[in-house]
Amino acid sequence: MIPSYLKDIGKEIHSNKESTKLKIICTCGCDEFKLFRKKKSREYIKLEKEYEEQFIKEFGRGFEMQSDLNGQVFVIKRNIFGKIVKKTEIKKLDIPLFKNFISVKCSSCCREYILFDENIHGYDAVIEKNQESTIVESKHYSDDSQKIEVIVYYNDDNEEENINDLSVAFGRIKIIKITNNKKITYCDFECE
Amino acid sequence: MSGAIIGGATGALTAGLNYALGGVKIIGSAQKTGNLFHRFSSNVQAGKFAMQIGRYSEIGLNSKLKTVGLNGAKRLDVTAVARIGKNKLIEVVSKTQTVLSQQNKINAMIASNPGTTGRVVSWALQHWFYF
Ligand SMILES: [Zn+2]
Repeated sequence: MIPSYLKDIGKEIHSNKESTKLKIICTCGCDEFKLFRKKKSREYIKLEKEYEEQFIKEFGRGFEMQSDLNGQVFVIKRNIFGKIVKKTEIKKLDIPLFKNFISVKCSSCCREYILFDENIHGYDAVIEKNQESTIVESKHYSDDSQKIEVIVYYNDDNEEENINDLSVAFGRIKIIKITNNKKITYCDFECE
Repeated sequence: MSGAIIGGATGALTAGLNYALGGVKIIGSAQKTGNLFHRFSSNVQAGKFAMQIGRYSEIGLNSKLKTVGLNGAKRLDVTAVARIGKNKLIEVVSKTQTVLSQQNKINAMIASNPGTTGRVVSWALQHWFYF
């Protein structure tokens, strides 16, 4: 299966029940691309670190979460006798979760293509019926160009889920860049 | 979908044990992540369940919550269906994963299953999550 959003640029190299390997070729015919990967901003890293430190101070690295009968979720802390000594309601995560985003830009015609947007691509995003694409304010592409391969991996029991577009419900995506005939894994994401 | 546990010594071990233990059904195979340790850990945990004779009727690898009678199509690394008592559900979370992303994952699973507990516990280099 070729993910539908890669249909125009993904040339199938190899495919079986479990995975599909594609070579990325621009609609102009060029197969060299510059890469972009969204990174966490400095502010985000700081926020995340602060949250993490505060949380670990309160609850420890190992922690317990419970849902009540209404589905409301709490983080709880027990003493050594197993008695709950702290219970904090989790309403909404205080910091938005970081989502991965990878795109490429053709070295010849400068057309841009999204290879992976964690908000809308992959099994979890598909079953959660996420619709909103990741917003990226400015993209700084790599200076060097490379050939690109993408491998997507599927589970064989996705049919039961009434998924509109099964081709996007992959469980893992791996993006490989090829420079001077050397293949390097650029990223490898679990999507479930 | 059925198959044996794939990968390493544990695979061979549990595949052999299946017969000896009398009907522990192994379903699926460990998630094909790029992290070999993740896959190995799933298999080790599945092997541990399989060795508890008579306790579990089914061990699922990378199977959906609904497979063990819970709500949701999210996948767990290892699920063990108990003959009597509580099922065990395990998610291997990577060491690089943040508290925030661990929380988010557990949150989604237990919110759709009112009255459940999720826990992140240390196990060697990894963290396990079960409820
Ligand atoms: Zn082009």
